[in-house]
Order: sequence, then C-alpha cells, then structure tokens
Amino acid sequence: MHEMSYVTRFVGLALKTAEEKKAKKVEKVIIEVGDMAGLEDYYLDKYYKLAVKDTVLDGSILEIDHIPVKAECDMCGNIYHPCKENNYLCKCGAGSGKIIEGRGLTVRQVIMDV
Amino acid sequence: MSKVEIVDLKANVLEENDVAADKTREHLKNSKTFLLNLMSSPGAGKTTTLLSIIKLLKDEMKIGIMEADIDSDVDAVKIAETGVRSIQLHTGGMCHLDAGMTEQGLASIGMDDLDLVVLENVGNLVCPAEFDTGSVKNTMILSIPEGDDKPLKYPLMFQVADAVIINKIDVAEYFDFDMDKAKAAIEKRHPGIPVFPICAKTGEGVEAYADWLRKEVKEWIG
Repeated sequence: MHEMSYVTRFVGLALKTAEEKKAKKVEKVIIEVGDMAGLEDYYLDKYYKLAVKDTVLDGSILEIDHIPVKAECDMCGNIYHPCKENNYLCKCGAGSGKIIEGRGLTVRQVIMDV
Repeated sequence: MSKVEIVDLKANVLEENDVAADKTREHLKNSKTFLLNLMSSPGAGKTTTLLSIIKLLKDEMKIGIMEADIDSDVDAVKIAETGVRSIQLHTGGMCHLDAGMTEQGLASIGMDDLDLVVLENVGNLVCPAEFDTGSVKNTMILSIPEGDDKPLKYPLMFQVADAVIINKIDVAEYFDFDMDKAKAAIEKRHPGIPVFPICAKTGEGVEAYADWLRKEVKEWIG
C-alpha cells in the first residue's frame, strides 16, 4: 500500500552510498523486507524501476529477501513467530509482545562497479 | 579497469523517519506544545470527535488543528468554523503522514503559542501506524459499524495507539458490535491501554477522553 514511500527512501540511501563510492554503475541492490511491513514485491519492483530512472542505479537488479516476524513475549520473554497457526499468540497464551524483527525494510547490500 | 565493490549497508529505511520524529518531539518540548496524532479508518468520526473535544477544551488551552487529507479541505473548513487555528495538509495521494511532513505542518501552523496541536491523520488503519509522526501521543478511533474484530485485523494500529476511542455508541443496537469482545481484543494487543466509548455527535463520554488528554497535555508542557 505504501511501497512508493519506502522505495523513495531506500533508493535515496542506495544512491548516497553509490555516490560516496563514486560508483560507475550499480549492479544490484539487496533489501530485506519484513513480513509485517505490508510491502508487496510486485510493487516494490515496479516503483524501483521508476525511482532509479536516469540515476546511477538505472538498470540495476532489485533483490528482495523476506524476513519472518519475530516477537519477544511481554509476559514470559519467549521469542516466537506470530502467525495464523498460533493465532499470533505466544505459547504461554499472551498476545502482546515486542516485535523484534520483520517489521521494516533494510538495505542490506549495494553491489556496484567502481 | 573497474572492480566490483559490495557495500554492506544494513540501513533501516524507517530509521531516518524515527530520527526526524524524535527531533520533532524535542521541538515540541521546547515550545511547550503537545502534539496528538489522531488516526482511524475513513468515516470513523475523527473530525466530529475533534469538534466535540475542541468544545470542551478550547477555553482552557490554545488549540491548533492540522487536517491531513489527500486533496480536499472539507474537514479544515468545519474545524475553522469553531474558531481554533487550523491548516490543511495535502499529502498529494500519499496514504499517511511522516515525520517530515508533520514538521512542515507544525512550522506552518506556528506551534509556539499553541498548547495542543492535533494532527488528524489520513483515514487509514495500515500506513499511518507504520510511520512515527513525531507526536507525543497517538489516539485511534474505532467506530461501532466497523466491527469489534478490528484490533485483530490491524494489530499494529492498536499497538502504537496510547488511547482508543470507540465512537458511535448511539447506534450500537443496530450492529453486531460486542463491546466486551472489542475491549478484550484491544487489551490483548495493548495491555493497559485506556478505552473510551463515546458518541461524538451527542458528546456522550467525550468528557472522560478530554480528561485523559488534559492530563497528558499537562504532564508534557509542565
């Protein structure tokens, strides 16, 4: 739903890195997308192509890795994967936990020709 | 001869927004202004609720309202009629506000002499929950016709909220909305969060929420 807003942000980060390294061309940008980020690969890729147009990132490949959601239970401290199967609850029955992984979008690597 | 270089970034995209949001809170603290971010789905009654809150609080604090909307200004016009300062923020198609847009809004409304600024976010239960606006507290409004299962469908929204208003209690008898079930679901997603059943139209229950807000504002501005 809000892919464009993430794409402009991470393209900005990748561009900054490419400029700092004085890259001639960027081959690949690898991002990690949390399963709870609500971001669809199809749209990330579609907007990526638009966002990188006429920049040093133009023509580069966007690789998307998915990160499962990991939560730490507020009640017992157990680390678990909230999902449909466990009704998004910890094994102790509590439903409130701190999401420690799988929410955001991280730029993992930028591979470039320098 | 060119060579391939692999740069490990590990840069979180929302980090920049989080940093900007913390800066906004610092500005708010210095200018003794409380920013409330009001979120809900479209039609839950954000503007009507705001009107009833303004009525109760406008004599005791200086209030400003920032109305975020994709393109229209119908809400800002309604708010302006109450006499409190209001501005319209157009997101130009974006489904949420982020810290940068909020900071611009605060600059243009002139927050320095205001005690309370309310940001009426874009009607949406998904994206606004993702982006920290820099607000001091968040309130989400759930309305009776939406159903009591919303906390289960949009858990993040209920996790980032600091208070939940359940609006349109006057029409409860026409809908299959189980108040106890809704409260239990909210409690499950966010233990200890205050829940205020209200009818924004008649003002029923609004005083209890205004009390909560009053206390939060006082605590922030000292």
